[in-house]
Amino acid sequence: MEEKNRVAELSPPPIPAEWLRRIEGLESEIQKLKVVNKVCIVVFSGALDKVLAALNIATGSASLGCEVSLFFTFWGTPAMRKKSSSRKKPLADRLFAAMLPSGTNKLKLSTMHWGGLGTAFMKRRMKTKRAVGLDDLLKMAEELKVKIYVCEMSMDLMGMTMDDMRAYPCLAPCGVGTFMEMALHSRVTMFI
Amino acid sequence: MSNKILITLGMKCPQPLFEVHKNIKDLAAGEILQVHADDPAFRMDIEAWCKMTGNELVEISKTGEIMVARIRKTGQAG
Repeated sequence: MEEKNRVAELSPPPIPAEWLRRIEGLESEIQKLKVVNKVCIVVFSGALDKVLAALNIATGSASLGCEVSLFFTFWGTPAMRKKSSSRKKPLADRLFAAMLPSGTNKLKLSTMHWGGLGTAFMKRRMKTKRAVGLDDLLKMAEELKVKIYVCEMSMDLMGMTMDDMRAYPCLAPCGVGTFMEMALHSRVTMFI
Repeated sequence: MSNKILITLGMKCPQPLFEVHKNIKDLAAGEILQVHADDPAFRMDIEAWCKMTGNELVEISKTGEIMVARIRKTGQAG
């Protein structure tokens, strides 16, 4: 009896290939579940104050170790525009482009814009108070590997393409599917 | 064991956190980052940062407007 047990100990029965396959599958599932705090922010507004808030939260949460994705859509889209683009475009696109702000420097406050006076005043105050501006926040975001997506449909509506967008390393066009996939895997999703 | 001093005087939210995140990367586990800050939000922010990233806030003191936080690297950079 004892002899038999020892033999069994020395050569354990082989693990069925099916089990190994399933263990491997479970291990990869666990890897996926490892908590990475993901944050997803929709930047719908193109107002200076709101884009500032979005980028502030984005860089702040990325500094806290979160994986952050920003989705620029609708009025937020022109905020990511280059200063000017010399591409030949249809008239309607050019008109639209002329009406929309071109880039971070042209955004207006959502309240107290006062024909430009309020916005200029706020910008000056931000400088004297040493608050971080949009371009500096974007530089920080770049260093923190914050991903920025620009809504494909908004760009199309507003007569823009990716060529009109500012240089940013992790910048990509996206649709609602891309956004929802991120949002469903995020702990926090904001709409600004 | 080398410790590091980080001065963030004059910087406003979220820059001090960004600097802490960046600078703690160079430290080895157990080393201390001493951060000087005068952003009024810094005290609460750095407590939250340490909690979230698993680093230890050894102490935080305030003299006038200036806060000094000592953080022991025990977790990730953030």
